[in-house]
Amino acid sequence: MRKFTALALGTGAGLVAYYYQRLCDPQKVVHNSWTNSEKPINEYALWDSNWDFRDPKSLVRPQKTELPQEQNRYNSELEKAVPKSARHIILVRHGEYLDVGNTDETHHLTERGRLQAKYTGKRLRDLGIKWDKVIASTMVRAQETASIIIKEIDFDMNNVKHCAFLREGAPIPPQPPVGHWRPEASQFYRDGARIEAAFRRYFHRAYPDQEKDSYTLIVGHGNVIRYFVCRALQFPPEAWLRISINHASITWLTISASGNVTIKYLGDSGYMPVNYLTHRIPRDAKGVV
Amino acid sequence: MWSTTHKLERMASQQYQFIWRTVAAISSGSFITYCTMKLCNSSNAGDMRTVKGQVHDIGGGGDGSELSQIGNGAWAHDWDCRAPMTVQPVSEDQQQESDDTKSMPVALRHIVLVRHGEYVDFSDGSHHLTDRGRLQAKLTGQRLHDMGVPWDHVVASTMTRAQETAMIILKEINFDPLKMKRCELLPEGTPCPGDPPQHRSVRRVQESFRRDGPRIEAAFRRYFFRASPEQKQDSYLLVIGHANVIRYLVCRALQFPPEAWTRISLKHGSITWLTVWPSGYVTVKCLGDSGFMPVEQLTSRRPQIKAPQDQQQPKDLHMIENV
Repeated sequence: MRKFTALALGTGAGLVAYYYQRLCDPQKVVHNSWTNSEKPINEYALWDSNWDFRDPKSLVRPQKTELPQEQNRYNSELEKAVPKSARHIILVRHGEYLDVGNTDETHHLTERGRLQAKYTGKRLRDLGIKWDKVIASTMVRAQETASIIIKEIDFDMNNVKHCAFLREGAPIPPQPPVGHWRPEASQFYRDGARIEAAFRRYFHRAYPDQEKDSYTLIVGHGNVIRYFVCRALQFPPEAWLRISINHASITWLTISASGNVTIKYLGDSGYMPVNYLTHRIPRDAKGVV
Repeated sequence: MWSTTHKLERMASQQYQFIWRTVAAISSGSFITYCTMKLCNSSNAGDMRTVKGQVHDIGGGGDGSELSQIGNGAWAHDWDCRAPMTVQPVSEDQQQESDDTKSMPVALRHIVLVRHGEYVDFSDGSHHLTDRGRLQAKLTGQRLHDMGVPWDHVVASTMTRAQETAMIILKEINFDPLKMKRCELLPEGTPCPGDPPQHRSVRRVQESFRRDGPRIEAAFRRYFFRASPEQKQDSYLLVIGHANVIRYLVCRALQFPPEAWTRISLKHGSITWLTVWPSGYVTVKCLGDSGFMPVEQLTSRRPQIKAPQDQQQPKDLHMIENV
């Protein structure tokens, strides 16, 4: 009889101990019940603040000793290396064009494409920006778009830079792999590194000696712009095909002095009447991509 | 005297023995119970964990293999739990095949997200649109009207500024205000701690995230899914909401890390257009499109000056109407 009582007591005590322990750490059960984004999902979600290798701390020789003069040296060098202003990079896609013939030289803007470029130029002028640099891809459709935009904004045609890095291409195999557009692996191999080089040429935080916010206008192509957006915002670059942007639309990226990147708008084309909005080569054209 | 003490001692030793035995029995009993409960629980927890893992994978940022893929930029196909069965039962039956084709979605779902217009706090704690905010809403409404889209549903957040914006937009797009839905899931909040971090204390971010995070995730799950196989025509859903919510929805829908919402900024009254394809892929057409507004009407945050107590009839609206 005694033994039974003892055993029952023991069971009770065990149960109590168990539930007490369970009560003590409820988060083990509740934790992560809807999403695990309470902490960053993965290493890719973490913002890499030294993405352009211009984080001031990475530019200064590290402090070797605790001596005061060494500390002073480090602090003064660090102060000199800190950027003070932001860089605005405005990406504009070319207007609508026709892919007549096999070479780029014969791919000219359509009438509508010219009008789109004109609308974009007007909008950029209305924004009242003092442009520091205008860069255009060397492809004919981007050149034509750039020349129409330049006429509208206050910028000298001779100061426009032409950059072959910005030419259209296949930046990286997209995820998800959708649609009819399936380039050869060799194309990604050829273009991928070049477009990445273009990204590294134009995307970096301001130099420490830059006094005012700078505005760079880049006239480029759909794939390149979408890849830039994904890279700059540290989204997976394979995601570029999830974005689609209209012809002659404006995409505005800002790199702040701290190196953080924000996007103001992506594919802004609201200043055009709705019937001018296009994003691909007209269907009735031959050799549709 | 001596004998009684002796007797007492004997009794004590007996009692001690009894107590020791009881203690031993109790402790062994409790130990065994504890161990069995623990064992049961761990097997239970194992099941729980797998269930949670599935939830994660649906959530687009799973714990398991999907996770590493998403980090690498791979697309999670069954993000909305509506993917048609990928593994089809092996059968020659024609009926079976036609059933399969019937269960494939065919229509597109367009989800258009609009941010509310500029607003101010009033001294009595209420928030209302400013004159400029009304004008922004009007311009957005006109743009949406120009797009000539047959709207199927219009949903607005229950907050005043979104409601006011919605009313102005509805007038422009000729949508019956009675058919508009008000959604408790859409009000502003902290969907997720931002990365890079915002200029707020970590504690406050955590607090508001605990409060708002699941709600805004629920909003995502309510509105973002591929069309059902019964839906034959493309549908257009207009959502009038708030900046944080819209930015989070965009990141979640495109399977970008949701923490990245702070890297996006949206103008008041701007249009964000997402498309869910029948295959489950999601694309964005424009993000923060505000080009239809004159440059001087562009704002993205609250004005610093307090608004006057009594709001006058907005005069800018009349100007627009005259044009």
